[in-house]
Amino acid sequence: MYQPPLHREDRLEVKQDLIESHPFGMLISVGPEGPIANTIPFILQRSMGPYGTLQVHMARANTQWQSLDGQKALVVFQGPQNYISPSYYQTKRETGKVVPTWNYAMVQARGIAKVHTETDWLRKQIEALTSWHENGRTTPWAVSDAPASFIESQLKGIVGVEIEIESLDGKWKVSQNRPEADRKGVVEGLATENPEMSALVRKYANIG
Amino acid sequence: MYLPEHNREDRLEVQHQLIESHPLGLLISTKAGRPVANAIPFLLDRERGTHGALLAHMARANSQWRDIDQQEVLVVFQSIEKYISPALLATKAETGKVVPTWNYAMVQVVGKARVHNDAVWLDRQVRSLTNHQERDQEQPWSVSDAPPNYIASQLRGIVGVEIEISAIQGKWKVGQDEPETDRRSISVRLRLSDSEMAQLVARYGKL
Repeated sequence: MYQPPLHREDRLEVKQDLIESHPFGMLISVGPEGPIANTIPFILQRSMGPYGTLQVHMARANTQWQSLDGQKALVVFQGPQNYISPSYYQTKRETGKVVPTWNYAMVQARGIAKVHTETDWLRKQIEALTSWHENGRTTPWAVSDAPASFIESQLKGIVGVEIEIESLDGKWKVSQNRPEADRKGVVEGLATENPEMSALVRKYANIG
Repeated sequence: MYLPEHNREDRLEVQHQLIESHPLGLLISTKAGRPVANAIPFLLDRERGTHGALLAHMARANSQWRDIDQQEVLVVFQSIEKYISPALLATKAETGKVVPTWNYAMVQVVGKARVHNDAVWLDRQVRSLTNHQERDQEQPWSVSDAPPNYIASQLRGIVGVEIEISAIQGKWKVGQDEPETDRRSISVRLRLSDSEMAQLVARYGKL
């Protein structure tokens, strides 16, 4: 991905945090007829390998896994994003030398994909994924709440994919290139409409 | 993409609406056998070709444009998405035969890319894109609000990309394969926390 130094986020824990808060990633691989992309929910094992390991499952009927084992894969995780109107910028009122842009935060993970069909691996994956999403709910659902034979049959319909991350790029394009007054304008302009992006601009601008 | 029959959205106008409401697409191409992806805002020209055309620009320093001229590329537009807990499903209380899933709507476009370097094309592209994005602002900003020589210098820093759509697919995975009682309970129980997804489930669940 195109990554100007100003927008690079190099802190591993920040990139891993984005994956965990926006785990619905896009798995991209190159198949016989070009790039293939599917969105699926990943879990991150932070301590497996230098950058962590991604684990996921997909429907067995999803043919992407058939050309995936041992191949290079890219997984894109997207955080908040928003169109940035020049109207937010103080500079617009001063010199008029402004153009619109788009803010976003994104992580791109690359690694070699390994396909898993073993029932034990799949069971562990769905249990980990489930507790990740259910923890924090008032009455968390657990895989063991469903009849065992039902889960058995569900497991037959999926395939697992594991990607040990070899490179992890973070791009936080959140107005770092704007003068402080413009960044403040963006923070205020998006406060109601997109509080998540507003908070990111504030954080990366180091304004109180 | 994996597209089960019940999740297909084949209506071109619905696919186009998703692109226009979620225009930050992921432009995906291949370089030396590996995928390259950048997020850029696209403008849809509905009138071009049979499925429309996508118009975009990127920083000249973004090397992706050097590899895509006359090449087939994939562009993915993502709409809303939501984790669906079994707690949202009425069947959970009845038989317990439920698992979590994820709901989402997505459009994937394939087409041949054409790279544009001429200032006239780029000028038109940034004006149209701006007018489209500013359409709902109280006081829409327009490219002509900026000094012309400033805009001219900005145009030198970008490259245009045009993709005539040769194939377009819509995937609306919004509970269509769940029993009616679950479609109903999802849409009711999401009403407060995610009204947009609740509406999609109700609409596609024919409730």
